[in-house]
Amino acid sequence: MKHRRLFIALAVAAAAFVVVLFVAALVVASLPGDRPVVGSAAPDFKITLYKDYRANLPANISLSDLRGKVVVINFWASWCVECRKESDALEAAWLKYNKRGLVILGVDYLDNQAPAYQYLHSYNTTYPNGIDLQERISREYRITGVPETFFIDRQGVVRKTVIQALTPQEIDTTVESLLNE
Amino acid sequence: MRSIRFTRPGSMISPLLLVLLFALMTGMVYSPARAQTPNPNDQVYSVAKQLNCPTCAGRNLADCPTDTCMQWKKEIQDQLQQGKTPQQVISYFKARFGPGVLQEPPKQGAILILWLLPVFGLLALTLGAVVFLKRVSRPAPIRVTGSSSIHDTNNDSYVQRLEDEVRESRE
Amino acid sequence: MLTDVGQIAYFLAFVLSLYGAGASLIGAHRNDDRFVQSGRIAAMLTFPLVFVACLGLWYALLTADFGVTYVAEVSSLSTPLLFRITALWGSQDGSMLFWCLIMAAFIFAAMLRMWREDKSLLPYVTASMTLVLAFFIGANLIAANPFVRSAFPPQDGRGLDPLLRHPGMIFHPPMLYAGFTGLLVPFAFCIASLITRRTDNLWLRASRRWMLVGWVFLGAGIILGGRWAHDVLGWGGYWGWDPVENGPLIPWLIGTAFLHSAMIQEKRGMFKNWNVFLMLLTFSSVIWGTAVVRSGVLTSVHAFAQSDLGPMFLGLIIVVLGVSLYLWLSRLDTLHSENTLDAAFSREGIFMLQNVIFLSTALTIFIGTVFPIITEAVNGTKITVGPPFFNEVAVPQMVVLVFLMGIAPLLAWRKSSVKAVSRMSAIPAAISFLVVVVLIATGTKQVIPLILFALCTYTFVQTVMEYFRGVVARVRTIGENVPTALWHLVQRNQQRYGGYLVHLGVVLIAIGATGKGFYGLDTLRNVNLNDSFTLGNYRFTYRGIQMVPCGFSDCQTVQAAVLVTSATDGHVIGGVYPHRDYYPSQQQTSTIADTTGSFNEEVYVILGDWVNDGATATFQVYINPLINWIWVGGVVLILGFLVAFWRLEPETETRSVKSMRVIGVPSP
Repeated sequence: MKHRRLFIALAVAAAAFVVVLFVAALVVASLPGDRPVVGSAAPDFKITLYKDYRANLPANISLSDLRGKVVVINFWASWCVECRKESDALEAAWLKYNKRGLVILGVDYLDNQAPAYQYLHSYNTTYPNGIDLQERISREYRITGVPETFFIDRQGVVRKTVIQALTPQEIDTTVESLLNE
Repeated sequence: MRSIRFTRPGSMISPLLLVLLFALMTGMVYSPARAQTPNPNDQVYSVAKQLNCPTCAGRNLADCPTDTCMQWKKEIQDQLQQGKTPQQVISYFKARFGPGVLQEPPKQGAILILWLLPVFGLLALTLGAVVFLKRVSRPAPIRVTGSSSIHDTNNDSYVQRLEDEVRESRE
Repeated sequence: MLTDVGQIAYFLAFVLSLYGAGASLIGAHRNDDRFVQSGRIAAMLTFPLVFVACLGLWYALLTADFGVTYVAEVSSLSTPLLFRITALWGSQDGSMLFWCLIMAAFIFAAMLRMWREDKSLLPYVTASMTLVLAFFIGANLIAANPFVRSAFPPQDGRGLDPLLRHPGMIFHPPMLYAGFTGLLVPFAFCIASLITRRTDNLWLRASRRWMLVGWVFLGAGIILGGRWAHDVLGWGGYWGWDPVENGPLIPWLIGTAFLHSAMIQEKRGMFKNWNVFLMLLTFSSVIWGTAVVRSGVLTSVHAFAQSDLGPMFLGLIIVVLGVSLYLWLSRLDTLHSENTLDAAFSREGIFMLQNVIFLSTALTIFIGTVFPIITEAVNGTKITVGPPFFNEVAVPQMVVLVFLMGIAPLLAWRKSSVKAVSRMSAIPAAISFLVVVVLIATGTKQVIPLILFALCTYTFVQTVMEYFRGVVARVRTIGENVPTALWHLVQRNQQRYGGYLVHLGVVLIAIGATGKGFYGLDTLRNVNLNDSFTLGNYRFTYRGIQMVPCGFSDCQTVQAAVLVTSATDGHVIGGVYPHRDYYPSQQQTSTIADTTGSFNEEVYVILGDWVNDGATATFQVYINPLINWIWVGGVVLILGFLVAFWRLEPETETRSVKSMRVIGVPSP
């Protein structure tokens, strides 16, 4: 009888162990992603800017340092084909609205420096760009891929997210309205 | 004695058996030649094998033909040409992209759990089986060990079993 | 129009499956056969209804109705007919519909069978199956509805994912789905017998054949998936320990353990609660594997989109596990063994050991698959558990299984002696020794493949000798000639000899995996036009690159020509034409390898990149020794299943049950 109890206890323990693993894995996996939604505060992050693409900002900045400005966070990568469609439009918007208080922040996702520089150079980019080290920022923002863009107002609130390449009109109208607030 | 029993019908079957074995052996026996022309990519390749493809999880970088992977391989090549050691290149990738780029999770820290859990699982299952077997076992009958006669009976029982089945199925 | 009919039919199938469950349970509760029969008919009707739903989607696909979002996602005007049909399972939403079709088909078949002495199980079998079906249809309708229409239909669709345009895609997903859903039937029998407290072998007898069907489909699906990956993904391999591959492998392993330990229950009346546990675990892991494939919780090469299905599947897993565990634990006491174990060194003992290792292997693979999710949740670091982990931890356990496969048939039920077993091992051991000697003589220096080949040879020869011994016994006692004896031998005990054929198939796969794993060579080379390089026994000469017409109308193909000659004597082995297909609309490139070589050694060439209009090109070359043995092994495995499954004569089971002597020893 003693053995029987022990056996049942062991079996239950083993089964419970498997169940806990099973469930834990899936609970975790299916947790609703806390992707920053429109109207919520944009999660803060630190980023190290590429040496040639700092636009007079310090090398290491936080998003919170840019409070008071309209910030466009654009996730991209040099290997991303779709991103090429919006690069010119982003640079144009930067040149147009920079003085009025717009910061475009390029976050380079899963990329190496040399091809990234090559990419930025080919589009004559001047707005600040930095590396998403260890995917920390992209995970914080739960991006689904590149390109992906978050528009953040002067108070640091997410106002619009776009999961595809931006059009010049889209950038213009959004930025214009955020700057005018 | 038993071997004689087998030889008579065996003479008909053994060619068949030999053919099968031959097929099996020819498959295994071949000489993998190692002669290779020297390849500047080899070092790149061996580093890439230890890293993950960034866009398709699980596959190593060396085996991944997508454009992104080709670019990453180029990065490895460039860094090696700059005089970095393979270990330094791997460290660079780990620092830049996180431990997720490594094919094999490091056997240290919390990740040790990954390597220990299966061992623990095997032990727990074995223990469970032993307890279970003990529970369903009856006290072992006294057996004369080392006596060949008993083992012969056992071997007989195998042939006997087959023959019994044959007779039975004929009825 | 027809598409809308499809959606309505699908919704009706959902309602009917719920009704089927309700009517069955009421019928069981009131002991009223009319309700039970009504539930049974409702369950059967779901199949034609889901079929109509599929017809509706097929109609939309064939008529290129891009107003249906799913159709625009997976097909385009230029998609050929065949791939319009397979596009039904080309992406998440549609494949779930197809999944439900196969599940409904299994339910239909199970309901159709004769319900004689096991009639008391019927209402619970119906209820468990229809409830699971209702979940899948419901989840499909709510979270991934393939019938959804868009307000602005595009002019043309995106077209099928290039990776899925492969003949393997015709068979691989249906096989896998049939494997997953087929395991629902034995699970339902198990649940029903637990609820009704039928502690005899009834559920086991009823469900074993269903288990076998699900098991072989799963196995065939796994092997076909390997073949598909080998042909399409351009990496020379066949198995990457990807979560989506592990998903079906885990239930397959547990199911294999069950198929073996079920034998003990049939022959000896032991391990009853263990078998129930294995069955419940098999189906729970099926649901887990489904969730892995479906919900996109683990990113992997299979481009299944992320969706809202995750929490739903989580709920299903909790319910299935909860119900299973509750029923199992509450019935544990009624499931006692009829017999006791005489000796650990016996068929029962080795089956127990084999069960432990099967389960431990499955657990190892499970841990490796979910560990990255857990670490990411706990401390935010994302790690990758790649093939090295599985090769180091899971594969050794599989090697032990290959060895046990050779030795287990030698052990008699109840009690065996070491000496008798070693005597019968003499010939196989001698032959494996011979193989090792030959391998060393031909230059193999690595120790591990030597051990593996020796084990494989041992098990192979031992298994062949099982047939040999049986034929000898027949020839001796009846005087039949050899072919007749072999035929009758197999016919009289199909399960056993079919099983041995499956074992042979597994050994062939193991040999192939060893060859590829230890003798495989690969390299990445930049080569100038008309230059060459050497790998292994082969010399590769780059002969040029050109645009060629693509196999499909929506892509551009660049093809390279490489001449493969022998590195030793220079004779031509063949030309290979690897190509890269670029799909502008999907911005995707698929890298298609070309192969040459011999049956025993495949030469696999991929075009990586090129510069200056092809003045220099990059090639990745794999030499895959024995990889073809894996496919052959897969075919043998399926043949073995057919031998075991195809009834050549009426059930012989009662006889073997009759011949069992009952040893009346009370359990302690």
